[in-house]
Amino acid sequence: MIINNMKKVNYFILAMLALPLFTACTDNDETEPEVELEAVLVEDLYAPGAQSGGTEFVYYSLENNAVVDSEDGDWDLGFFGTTIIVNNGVNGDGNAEATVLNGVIFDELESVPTTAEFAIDTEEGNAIPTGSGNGWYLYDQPTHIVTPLAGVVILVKTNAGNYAKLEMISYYEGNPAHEDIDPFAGGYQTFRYTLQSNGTMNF
Amino acid sequence: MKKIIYTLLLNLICELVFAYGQALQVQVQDAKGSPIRHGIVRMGEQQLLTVDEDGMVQINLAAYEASTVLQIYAMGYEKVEITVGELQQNPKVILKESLGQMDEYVLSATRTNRSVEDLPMPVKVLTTEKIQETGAFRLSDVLSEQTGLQLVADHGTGLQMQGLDSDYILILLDGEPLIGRTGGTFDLDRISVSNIERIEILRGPSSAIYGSEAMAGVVNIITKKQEEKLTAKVMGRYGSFKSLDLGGEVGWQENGWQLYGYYNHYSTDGYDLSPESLGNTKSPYDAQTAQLKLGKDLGEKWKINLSSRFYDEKYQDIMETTRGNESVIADMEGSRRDININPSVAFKPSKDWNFTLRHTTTIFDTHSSTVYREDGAFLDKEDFSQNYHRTELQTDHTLGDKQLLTVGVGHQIETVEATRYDDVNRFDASYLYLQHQWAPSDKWNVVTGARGDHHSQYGGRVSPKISAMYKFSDQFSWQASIGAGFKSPDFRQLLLNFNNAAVGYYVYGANLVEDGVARLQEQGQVQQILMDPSLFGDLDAEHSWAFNTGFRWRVSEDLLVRTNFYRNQIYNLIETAAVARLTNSQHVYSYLNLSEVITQGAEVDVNYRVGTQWRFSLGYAYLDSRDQEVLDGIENGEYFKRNEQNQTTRVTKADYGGLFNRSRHSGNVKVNFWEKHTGVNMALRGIYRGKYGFGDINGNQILDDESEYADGVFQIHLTLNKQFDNGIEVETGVKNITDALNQYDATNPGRTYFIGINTSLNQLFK
Repeated sequence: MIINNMKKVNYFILAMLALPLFTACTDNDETEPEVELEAVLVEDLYAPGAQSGGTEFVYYSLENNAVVDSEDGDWDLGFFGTTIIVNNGVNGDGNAEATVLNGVIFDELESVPTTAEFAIDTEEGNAIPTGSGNGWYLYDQPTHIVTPLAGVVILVKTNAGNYAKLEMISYYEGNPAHEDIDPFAGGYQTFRYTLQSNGTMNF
Repeated sequence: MKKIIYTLLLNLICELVFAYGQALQVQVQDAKGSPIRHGIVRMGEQQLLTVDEDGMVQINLAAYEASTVLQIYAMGYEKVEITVGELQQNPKVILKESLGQMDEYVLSATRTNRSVEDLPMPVKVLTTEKIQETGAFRLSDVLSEQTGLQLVADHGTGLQMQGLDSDYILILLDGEPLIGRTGGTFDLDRISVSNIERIEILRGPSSAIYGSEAMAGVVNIITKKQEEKLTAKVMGRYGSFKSLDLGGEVGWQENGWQLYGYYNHYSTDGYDLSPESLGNTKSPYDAQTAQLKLGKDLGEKWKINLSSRFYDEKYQDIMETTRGNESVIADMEGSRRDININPSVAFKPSKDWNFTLRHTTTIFDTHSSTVYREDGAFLDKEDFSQNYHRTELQTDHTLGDKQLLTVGVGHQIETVEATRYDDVNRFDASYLYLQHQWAPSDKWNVVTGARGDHHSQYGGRVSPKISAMYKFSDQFSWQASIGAGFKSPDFRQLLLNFNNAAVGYYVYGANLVEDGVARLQEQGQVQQILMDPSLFGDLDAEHSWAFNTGFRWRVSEDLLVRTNFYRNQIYNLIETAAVARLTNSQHVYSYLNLSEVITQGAEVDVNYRVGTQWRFSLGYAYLDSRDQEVLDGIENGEYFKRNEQNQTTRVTKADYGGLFNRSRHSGNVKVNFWEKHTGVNMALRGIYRGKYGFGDINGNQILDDESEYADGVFQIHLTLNKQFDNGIEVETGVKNITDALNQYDATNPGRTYFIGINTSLNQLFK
């Protein structure tokens, strides 16, 4: 007989080993005055996946903090359920790029690490990988709940060439506590991001 | 060592012939008035008498003064001293049951017979009565009620001892190892209980005599031994989920021959804790167990034994799976078979020497297949076959009456052939163990031992252990032991070659991962290498150091307190790690020596007896466990979680809850009552398992969040039992009366009922 193993597959994410070696903020002897950048909070951007009846991507411009109506517009990221695409490669005609950093805290990230490898979406995979544990979220099979991974920051090079750091916060309406989540009402993307519009890599 | 006396006495008994004359018939009984069979009456230094099957003994009064003191012994009872004069007044002797089973003999702790009281290590014995009062169908039911033991459902019902998993617990049947594990778990549901006489539970590492696996401890299941001339018994039991257990046994003993046969058939419909999904939590299955033991004494010096066991199990279930993009039903079925054969020869040329040559052969097979219901195509089909052969020679030599030396040497061969392995794989190991038992004075008792293993896969390993006990008085003794334990990397960890076609991930044994990943890279399936595959390979044995200490305090004749404090420090723990990410977003996994784990805790047992009718016991276990690598990672700020606003924060040491599946607090309360007039025995037990981490919810792989804990559960069980004089015994009971459930514990089906009847045919038709 088999007792169904209620424990999830005990795989091991090497988050701790993949800790990027980001360099400290370089000595800032430039003349430009320090501008304190503010994080923008985007709440409940509804972009349901196929399971929730979604049919197309919701395109978003980080530069303008607004939804872009068409694929042909000036957008940076596209959302469809748990999938996030960049406006480049196989998914767009733009110049956006992205990479996922593990083991960092959004507020503490002061610049784009020199080791960061920005990528575009290709046939082999997206710049922001899909699948549980690979990119920005964890999907729990028994409960069907999607939880953003802690310590993950998405770095985006926008269509316009500026750098932004972004943290996914919630996949459910109103950013509820874990115990209040209705797993069948997902697709409400809540995230925050900081855009450095002067073209430098510092946040 | 005075408790060895009983064994010695048994050995010394010869046919004693008494002149007829003033013979006095003395009845030896327990507190409930049932006859005690096979006791011994000792008079002075020389004279020994045996109590017969009816609990009667004849004493020739003419030979003694009224003031002569007689000592009356029986296994499991406290010794009584009485004068011949007193017996003339009232020819009845009542023996009290030994409190806390302290007089029981234990084989597994030293591989020689020693009483619990004399062993300088934490050992507990469960007698037939204790096993029966649990209303158990399978071994898991019995062990789940013992202090400090937990059941963990993981590819079967596994045991957890001192916070260590089933992988680290050696299970013995009549002293010989049982093999056959799935995912490291030895499934306790493979063992039927109706012919178990005793269970010895030895805590702390015992690799010094048993080698690999005995890192947390040893459970030795002792099945019935033929002591009477002719016996026959039938047992039946029925309970919830249509669980039916039928069995019978016959035994015969004459002219130095002993023959014992047992057969058991168990079937159950299983149960389902999540009816909203297809398939059962526990699959329906039926299992057959047969056992045959044959013994022959050849003169007084030689003894030959042959014991064998056969187990066969079949299960079936259904599951829901996806095929293409569609959700479909698949039918699963499988079987498990286990055959053990153990011949042995014992030679005792003199009272100081004892040689035992024993062999064990075990064949363990499993087969499983899963087919899509719609067209009968195979979703999965797997076979697994493991053979284990071991031969060893053990020599015991007594030096005076204070020292006992044991030397053992052996060789074992293990082979595995399975769908998930490439070839027939073979491991060889040779070993030597030495043990010295010494009682330098009445107060001290020391056991020292060491074992060397040489294994074809990972080389040599030496496991020493020293245990000592000091008796402050007859009431109070303190014991301590330090020992090493180890566990070999198993076939799975070294040689597995598994591809889950349905989901798309791969698992390779450490020896194969480098080639496996290279092959996947050639096929263009690898998206990203997460760890250098050449870091894998050459797995070392997991090994540990453990310290156990505690006291036994007999506060009064009716109150016994036992404690044990322990710490296990395990190095080179083998864990699964993701080696590469595939283009399908799945991973390639393998095994490597990674963690350093600590488990430590305290266990307390209190037994209290009030009169002949009431017995109370209380057990409590405290457990603290942690993974040192995780703690280091937390210190370095490498673990993250989300706060109430779902923003990332660092995990702090205070957040860390240790290893999953470990309850910090657990315990039990047991009340036994014997109702005099009806003769009904009642056993009411409350078993508590405190809250524990069931799994990772927030994605950082560690236990650090309130949402990752399962609530504590308090189960109440009641068993009623009555034994009739004609050999019939009936029992009934309810398990988990309050239906206390925890959705994360697959071993707890909620409230169940059972009813059972045992009939001793030789008593019934006498």
